[in-house]
Amino acid sequence: MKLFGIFALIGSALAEEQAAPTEARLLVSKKTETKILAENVDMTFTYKIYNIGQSAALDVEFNEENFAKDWAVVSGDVKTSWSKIEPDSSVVHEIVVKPLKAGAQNITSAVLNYRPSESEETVRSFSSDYGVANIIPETEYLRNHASHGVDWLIFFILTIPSLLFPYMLYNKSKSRYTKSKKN
Amino acid sequence: MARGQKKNTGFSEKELELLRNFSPNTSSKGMAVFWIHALYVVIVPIWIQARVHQYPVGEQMIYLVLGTLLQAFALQFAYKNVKNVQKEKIALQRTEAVSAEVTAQVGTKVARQELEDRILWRKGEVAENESIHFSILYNNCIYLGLYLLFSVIFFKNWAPLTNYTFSIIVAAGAVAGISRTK
Repeated sequence: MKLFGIFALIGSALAEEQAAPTEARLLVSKKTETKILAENVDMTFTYKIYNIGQSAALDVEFNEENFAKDWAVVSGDVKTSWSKIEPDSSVVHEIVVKPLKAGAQNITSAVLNYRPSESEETVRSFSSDYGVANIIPETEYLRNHASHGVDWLIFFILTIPSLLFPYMLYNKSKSRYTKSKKN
Repeated sequence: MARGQKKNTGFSEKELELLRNFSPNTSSKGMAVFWIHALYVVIVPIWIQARVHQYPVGEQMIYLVLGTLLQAFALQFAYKNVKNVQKEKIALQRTEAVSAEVTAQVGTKVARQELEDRILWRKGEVAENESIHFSILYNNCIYLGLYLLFSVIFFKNWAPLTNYTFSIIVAAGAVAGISRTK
């Protein structure tokens, strides 16, 4: 009986899949590649908007309100719009932001308003959400995760007067007297 | 040697100068060079502390100042010790070359005694200069190497102040300690 139920579920799912919506239907994913979220460190959120419907989505308005407080938008728009998104196509939107304070922050969905077809009213859709982000303090990030390439370069430059200068002065005198010794 | 020099008044000025040249005391110019190098080289690790370990320089400045002064003292002590040992070695190694140089310069114009004095004086000068720079290089290499080893590898995950304190104690302490054993 259970097995029959599973088959029935799969069947209905397939039937639904086959019957793609005739009007536009937008699905939005919200992702970030950034593994370590840290205070004052840039991170990029990528939004992929897919139109899985059979007609174009019209007057698409994108609104991301998660970054209004305690975040700084480095580049990209938190509010943008597209006049049309064709069926079976997708649009990618990116926002670069940086958290201004450390701690746990709940990053929820971005909102999308659009008209599924010419004749229909505006509908609202939500992107996937990121969930709770644990933002580490900037000092912790710089201590444990940052590369410090430039800092090390400067360090080695700073050691020149301590190592290279005495070496040159020592070597200058040494080579002067060891040379004349050979002669 | 220095004590004997003070007691004995039978030496001429020239002889006294020669003795000074070979005494373990470092000239005031040498001491200035030592202090400048010591102060500079112990300041360099603060850059790593501040940038890599995120040492709160503004809040804990006092420890940096104390650390710098104590380390500078330890390093100039090490510089002096290594210099004295090296000066003797270098003076021996340069005898032939310096004699040849001085003889070529003054030749037979001066008396034999005068020539020998000049050679000795010059040898002392060359050995002093060379040993000063060798000592600075040698001690700085050990100091920076040990500091990096302990601060960046062994004590990497320690709190910045603890990291700084222990790294400099090991680095400056070892440099001063090694210099005495030679």
